[in-house]
Amino acid sequence: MSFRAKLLAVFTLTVVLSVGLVAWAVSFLMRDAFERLNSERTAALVAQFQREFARRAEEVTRRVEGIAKADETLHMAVSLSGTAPDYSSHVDDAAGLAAAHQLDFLELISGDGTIISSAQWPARFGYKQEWVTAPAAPTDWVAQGAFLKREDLADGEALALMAVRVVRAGDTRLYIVGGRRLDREFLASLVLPTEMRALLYQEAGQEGGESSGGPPSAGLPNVKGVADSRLVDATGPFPWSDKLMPLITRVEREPAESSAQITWTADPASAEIFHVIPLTGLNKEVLGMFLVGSSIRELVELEKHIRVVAIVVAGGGILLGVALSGWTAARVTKPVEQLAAASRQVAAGNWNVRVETRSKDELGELARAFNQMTQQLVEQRDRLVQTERVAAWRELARRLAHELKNPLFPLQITVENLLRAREVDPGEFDEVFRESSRTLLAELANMKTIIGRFSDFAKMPAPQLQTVNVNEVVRGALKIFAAQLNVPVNVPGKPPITTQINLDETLGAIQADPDLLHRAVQNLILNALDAMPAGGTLTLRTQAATSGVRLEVSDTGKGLTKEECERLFTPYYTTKLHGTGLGLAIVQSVVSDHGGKISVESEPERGTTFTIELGIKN
Amino acid sequence: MRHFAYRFLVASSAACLALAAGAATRPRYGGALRVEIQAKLSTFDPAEPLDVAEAEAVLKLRELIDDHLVRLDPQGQPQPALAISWEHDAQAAKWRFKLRPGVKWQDGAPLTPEEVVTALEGHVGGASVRLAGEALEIDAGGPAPGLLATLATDASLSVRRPAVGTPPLQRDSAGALPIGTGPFRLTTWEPGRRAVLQANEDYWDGRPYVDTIEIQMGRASRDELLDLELGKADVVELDPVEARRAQQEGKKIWTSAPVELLCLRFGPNRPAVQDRRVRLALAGSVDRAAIQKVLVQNYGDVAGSIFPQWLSGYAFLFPTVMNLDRARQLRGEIGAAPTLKVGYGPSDMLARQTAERVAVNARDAGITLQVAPLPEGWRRMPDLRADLLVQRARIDGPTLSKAALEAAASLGLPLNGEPDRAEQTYAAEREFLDTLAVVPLIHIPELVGIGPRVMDWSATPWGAWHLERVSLEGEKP
Repeated sequence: MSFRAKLLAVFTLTVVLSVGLVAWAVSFLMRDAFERLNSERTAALVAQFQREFARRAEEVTRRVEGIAKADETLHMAVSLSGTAPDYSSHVDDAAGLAAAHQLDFLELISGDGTIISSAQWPARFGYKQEWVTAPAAPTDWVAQGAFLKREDLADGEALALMAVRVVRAGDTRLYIVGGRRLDREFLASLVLPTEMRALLYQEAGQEGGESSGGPPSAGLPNVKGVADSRLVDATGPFPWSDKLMPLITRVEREPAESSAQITWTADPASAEIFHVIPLTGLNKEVLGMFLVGSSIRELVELEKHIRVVAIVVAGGGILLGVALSGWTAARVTKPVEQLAAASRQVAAGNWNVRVETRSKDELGELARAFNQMTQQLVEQRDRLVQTERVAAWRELARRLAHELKNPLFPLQITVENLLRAREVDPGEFDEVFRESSRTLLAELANMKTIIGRFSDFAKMPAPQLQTVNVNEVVRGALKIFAAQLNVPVNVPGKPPITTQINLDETLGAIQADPDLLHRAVQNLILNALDAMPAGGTLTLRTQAATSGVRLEVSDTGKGLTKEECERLFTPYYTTKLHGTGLGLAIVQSVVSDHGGKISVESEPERGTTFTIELGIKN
Repeated sequence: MRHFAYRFLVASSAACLALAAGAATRPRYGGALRVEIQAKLSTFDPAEPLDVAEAEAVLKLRELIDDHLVRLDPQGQPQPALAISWEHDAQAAKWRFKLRPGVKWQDGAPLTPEEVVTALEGHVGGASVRLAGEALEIDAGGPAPGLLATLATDASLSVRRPAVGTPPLQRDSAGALPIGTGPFRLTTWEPGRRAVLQANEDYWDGRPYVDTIEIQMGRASRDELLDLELGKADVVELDPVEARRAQQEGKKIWTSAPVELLCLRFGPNRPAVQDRRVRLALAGSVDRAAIQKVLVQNYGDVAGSIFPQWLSGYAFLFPTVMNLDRARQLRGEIGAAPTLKVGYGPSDMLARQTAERVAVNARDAGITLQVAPLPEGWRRMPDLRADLLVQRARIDGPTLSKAALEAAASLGLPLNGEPDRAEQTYAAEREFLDTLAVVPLIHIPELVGIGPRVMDWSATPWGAWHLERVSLEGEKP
């Protein structure tokens, strides 16, 4: 990753993290505040419900009390106090009294619990209402006040706020059981804040049904839900009852206030937080539930708004970061890039490159150090060249001295023999002279050969390229060494050399100078043969390479050390006793002149392999 | 006609006679008799599929306008009407009636024998009706001992002027009102609201005492009682609860013999009640005694049979007690049972109350009933979409054979002709009730509240009013 990219990443990360952190903090604080507000609103609505509940309870109690104290009720009680009271004449009385006192429910019940008259279910006369006279029933109905009750009706059940009063005529008791329905009209009397709803759930007794469909309530998505007639809001059956049933079931199992968030649709803004308050009856049994729903739409929308702002700010920050990082990078990385480019030129051999710098900061210091370094490199290179030249000259002198010293010594001995023979034995001088002349000529010829080699190396010609088959060149070179390679076994002074020729006959022709190439191959073969004085295996292999041909010449000699491998192509460097050190230098020169590459691999005691790669088009 | 039936009729008419005895003073002419009824009449044709109350109201109204050849006295004995005398052959197959002379239509035109023949022809079963000189001959084609009772009570056998192109006794296209030979002439007709009848000055049996009869229709029983108490009405139909209340307050209440049957009737093609066990369970769960005691206020009798005891004499042979344990057992055998739909006539309060009570009783047996009123005009509908009905049927006779025909028409009691013996009726009834097509509940009487102005109230035990004999107190003698 470039410095510029890193810089951009750091800038972006910093901006995004900062904005995200601020957005999260704001959302967290806002949610906390919203939940606190929501709790307060819910508590206010619950308090309103309780006030309205208490008011209605008082109202119901007052009305039932009014009926109980009415003269006609007393007359009724008196008329029923005989030994065989006739209830039938009062069968319609409850309906009239209920209408007159604005009660939804009213039953006149005899002392043994028999329904004399029922306003809410007239056909139920004669049946027993045992809860009124049961031993567990309150003894003082006045102290009991109004209470919640599930009232059986012909078409189902209803939740009712009931009160009981007892009218006495002698030993006869007449129970006045009246009440009002706790239903959607009750809910309608509550003043609901915006984004809040109140629901009433009636526990099912023997019956209780479900119905589906129905128009959605206000604030609900227009998607068909499942309505349950037991759950109503101020407009009627709540059409999304199924969503609330898990919460209701939980409160049924554990009758305590509970809350849960209900999501109506995939849109989180449609969710509401519902708080459920169980409503209990005389025996603390759960008869219904009051549900307060509070929409989190505002919260979600606010969070969404904050998120959008955060994204916009983060986006702006990123853009700013890009601009800043670009500007900064331009300021910071340009000298670095110049340094990198200069370094690449240095690596490519151009040590004269210089980096311009005006700044006085660390990068300016670095640029100046770079310039100083390249200057020192150039100076050191010059000194090294000079040193190498001196060394080369010394090596050349040493080689020349060495090479020429060998024939000079026989020349000197021969000349001294001639002189001694003339002085000591003039008669044999002629014979000695002839013999010495041959020796002198032979040594002079030897010196001439040595000088010729040096001369040849000095004047290596430029390659004359033509189409060449490498395999043919290899075969031609091998012919020269046929006498050495075809030596029978156990011939004294002639080591047995085994030859392995692996030539790729599908090899294509290349552009090369056949004579120079022949000479290079010849030198490699000669070198290999010299490396195997005790015999071994010479291997020649040609094969196609990526963009040309590859030629390998291997021996199984004693191999080379790493240092020897590094210096192997240095002119006049040799590991052989009588070598000139020019053979492999010539090979490298030929390969280099052809645009190819030569490499060597060697392991001590395992042999050496020279590999030449030449391009098809040189 | 069975003798024991008339013994009951005589006994049940005691109250009526007592009322009449209280009005032993000389009748006075004049005044308007104000009558309130619950039915809303839109037609006078009894052939229309009317509610029981409507049909009975139509019958009562027509009795004021039309005449019959003969009429029955409170003891059920035939008395001369348009026919002043009659005779028949030994088999009672051929009858000869001597027509009353000088009878006039209410518009003053004389009633001719030909008009009588025209009115009766085709209505007397398969009998032929013809004139033989001044007399009218009816050949029933076989023994017809009940012919006189039929001629006296069958609404279709009233003598009325045929209307051309319009149903009888309805306004014709010219706006004319129907004309009869009866004691009153219809002068004002506001369908469903009000009717006014004027006394027929030329009535052959003497002018009625009251000048007019004003009939208010569609009045609720509670309102009728209130009007009676306030003196706004003289004669009102009352439901049992109001009748009981009025009686407790000292009002005059006239009670007929039980003339209606309140029953459960199962829908013939309703899959939900095809299982006999469902019907048995439902029938066994009904507490008839509670209905009789509370809803009918002890005025009627619990019924296990179609025909009341006063008509048949054998009604006690049919059980009426509930058997809730058996009902629950049968319900348990049924398995899952659907909710049954119970219908009742939309204007029939007693039927509604009874249906609701039956639903409460059925609930004890584990059967759920859904009670709902039938739509208006339900009698003309082929499919009521109700599994059972709480229905009233008029079973007023006044003879058992006549009542059997009524039951055949209203309840589908299968008959092979008009039964002339109680044994035949019993067999048919027993077989019919065993099918559980109908479950009798209560036999109900007709209850009439009578205001203090009304003198000489006259009605037969089977519910026929004789308003032409009623006079009003305080009018001119």
